[in-house]
Amino acid sequence: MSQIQFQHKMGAHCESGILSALLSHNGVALSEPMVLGISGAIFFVFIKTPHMVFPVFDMRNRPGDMRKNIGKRLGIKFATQKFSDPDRARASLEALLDKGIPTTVQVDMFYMEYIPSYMRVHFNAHFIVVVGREGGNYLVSDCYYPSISKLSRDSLDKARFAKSDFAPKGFQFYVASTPAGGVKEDVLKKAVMQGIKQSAFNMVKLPVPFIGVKGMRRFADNIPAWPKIARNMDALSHAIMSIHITLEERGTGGGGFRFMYASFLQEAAKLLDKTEFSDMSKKIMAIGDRWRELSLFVARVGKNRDLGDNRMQEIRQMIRARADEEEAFFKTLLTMVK
Amino acid sequence: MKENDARVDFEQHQVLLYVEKEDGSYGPLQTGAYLVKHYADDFFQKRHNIETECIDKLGKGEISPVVYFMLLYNMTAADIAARVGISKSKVIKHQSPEGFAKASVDTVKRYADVFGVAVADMFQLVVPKEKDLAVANRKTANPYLSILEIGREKT
Repeated sequence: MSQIQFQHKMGAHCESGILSALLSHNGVALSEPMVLGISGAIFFVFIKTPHMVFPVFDMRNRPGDMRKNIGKRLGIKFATQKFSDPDRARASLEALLDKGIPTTVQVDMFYMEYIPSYMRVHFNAHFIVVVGREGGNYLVSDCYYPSISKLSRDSLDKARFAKSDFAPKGFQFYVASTPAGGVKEDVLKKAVMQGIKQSAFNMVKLPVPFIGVKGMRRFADNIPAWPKIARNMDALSHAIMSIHITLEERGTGGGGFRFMYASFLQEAAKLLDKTEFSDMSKKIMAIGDRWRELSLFVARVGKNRDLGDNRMQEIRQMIRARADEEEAFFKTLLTMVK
Repeated sequence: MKENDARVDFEQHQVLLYVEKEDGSYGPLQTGAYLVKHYADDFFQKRHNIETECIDKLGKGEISPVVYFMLLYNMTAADIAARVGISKSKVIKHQSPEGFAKASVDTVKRYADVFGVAVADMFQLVVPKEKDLAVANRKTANPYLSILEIGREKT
């Protein structure tokens, strides 16, 4: 058995969680909320593709963007590689492990054999850190799991070379270098402002109908059509209850990342000595509470199969109300970082 | 969200949430997963309903195993096609028993990989007759052969 000394910790989200842990391993202490905020990851996108039975939404930016933005804004270099051949990908990963380098790999979550069966869905943009080997298994740090887990070589190969949307193509990365003497305070302050500006801009200014608050409204207006898409009441219930999973339990820290963003703004207020960010953190925490009210509502009506047209309209109105609140919030936030 | 409102006593499935602590600061809280604790029974009931519906249709020769796993994992023909590496029209053909009979062994193996089952599970359903029997497929170095292990669960 060979295992790198790596401090495993649970994270709210896979990408922000592993970035925080990897940076900490390399001597840069940055909380998970700071990773989320600096990388401008707060987002909303409404997605409708033939690869999905029902339309879905996400509340963070594109997978990989957190790493790219953190690297760019804090001067951290990540070495990245993609592969077409599983044997070469495995050899490269093992060579890095032999050098004592914890290495992040992009995987299809379905093949993570240590997680419960109800969580095993095909999702190609999950990130885990490989920290060692034991027999025919790898030792992996997965933020969604409380401890270091074992993953068979066969499962990791399948997970790294799954096809379809966001196909990983053997993608791996590790921290290649950090700024000498650590990240300077003025760099950190500037990065915080850049991250806030990017998030606020994306939420209210991007002229794309399925992104930001416009995307929220489009998603809301799509909900009443769901009974026609569903093959039966169980399928409709599953789709409606999935809104809860996306908001709360698929790695958001609760309230669709809004609670974690409140934590970021609180840290930012202290770092920049700006009390207005502290006020904004309370506001986004309250908005997160109302996203949570929606998630508890959809879980309840989904289980009760209380899914008539009036309920679909109620869900639509709740999401539209969240869009109105977020539009006001991010417009105000944008004025603070101009 | 206040820390006390977020706490869920459910050791089996933990999540990390960000909450408002008693002193007004915001920070992480490791706690049980609300949905899993309160609604997992509903999830498994839905799965059971799909299994019941599909096993009946499989037995009558109305659908192929591709449909069964597609419904079980809530996937579309387009997504399965991309993952298996064949066209969507082929997946649609393979949804009928007649079409599935024309799939190559290699294609069936790739379907099995996508559905996370052994190749043998594309042709059989394993139903233990006694409640305390545990059934598990053990992989071998041969990708087309798995060993079905059946034993009594330790009490």
